[in-house]
Amino acid sequence: MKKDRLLISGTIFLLIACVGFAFIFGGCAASNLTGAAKVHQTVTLVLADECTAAIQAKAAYEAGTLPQTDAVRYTINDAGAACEQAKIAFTTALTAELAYRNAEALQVNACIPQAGAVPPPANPQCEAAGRNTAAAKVASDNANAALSTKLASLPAKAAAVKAISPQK
Amino acid sequence: MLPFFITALGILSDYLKAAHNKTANTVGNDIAAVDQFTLAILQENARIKGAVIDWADPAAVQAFVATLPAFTPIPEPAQDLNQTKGK
Repeated sequence: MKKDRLLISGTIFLLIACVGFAFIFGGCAASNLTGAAKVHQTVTLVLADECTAAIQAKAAYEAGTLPQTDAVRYTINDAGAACEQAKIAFTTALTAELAYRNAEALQVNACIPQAGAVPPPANPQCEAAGRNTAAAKVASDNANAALSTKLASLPAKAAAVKAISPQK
Repeated sequence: MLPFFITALGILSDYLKAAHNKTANTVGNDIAAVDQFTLAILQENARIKGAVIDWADPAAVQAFVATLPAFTPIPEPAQDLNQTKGK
């Protein structure tokens, strides 16, 4: 009987130690992101935070734990709409970023010097690829600017939602 | 000597189990005290940080963003017919 208890306790200790190591190393893996990867994950986290607050508030409103008034409904809907618009802006920015990367890759291929060929800038394909890349960069910059504007409005709207006092 | 050692380990085992149960109950009470917003946000954050995707790939990130919960507006309450009578 006592050996069984010792075995169970030892097993529980080993399980806790394994889960602990998994959290430690899993957490370290997530924080090793840099550059575009880190930006993408950070924006996703911001969107998730704000949208989750609006969704939770809506559930609380419909359950009656938040006052079911026009003002409360407007505040929650306003935050939720801002969140969905920010998601669309993020998707648009990602599309533009992908298009820019593809344009850059095509430009590299088009502008590779060929043996005996006419050197740049007389290479028309290289010139066209360069113009496409420049246009794609402008589009990507504009999309990112629009995304920044949408993201900037989210914290205040989420704070307004969280500040709604529960129904008494 | 051996029976004493085994008995001591058994007592230690009982103590650790009791401490574990007390800690679990305390943690449970603490979680209950955390507001619903914070808990939901923490859960969603954990899901995002644990996602095994190439965060540098815009297409992969787009696909993941599509899995975020969507917000649908709260509809306006139905008009009370008695309020519109006589108008």
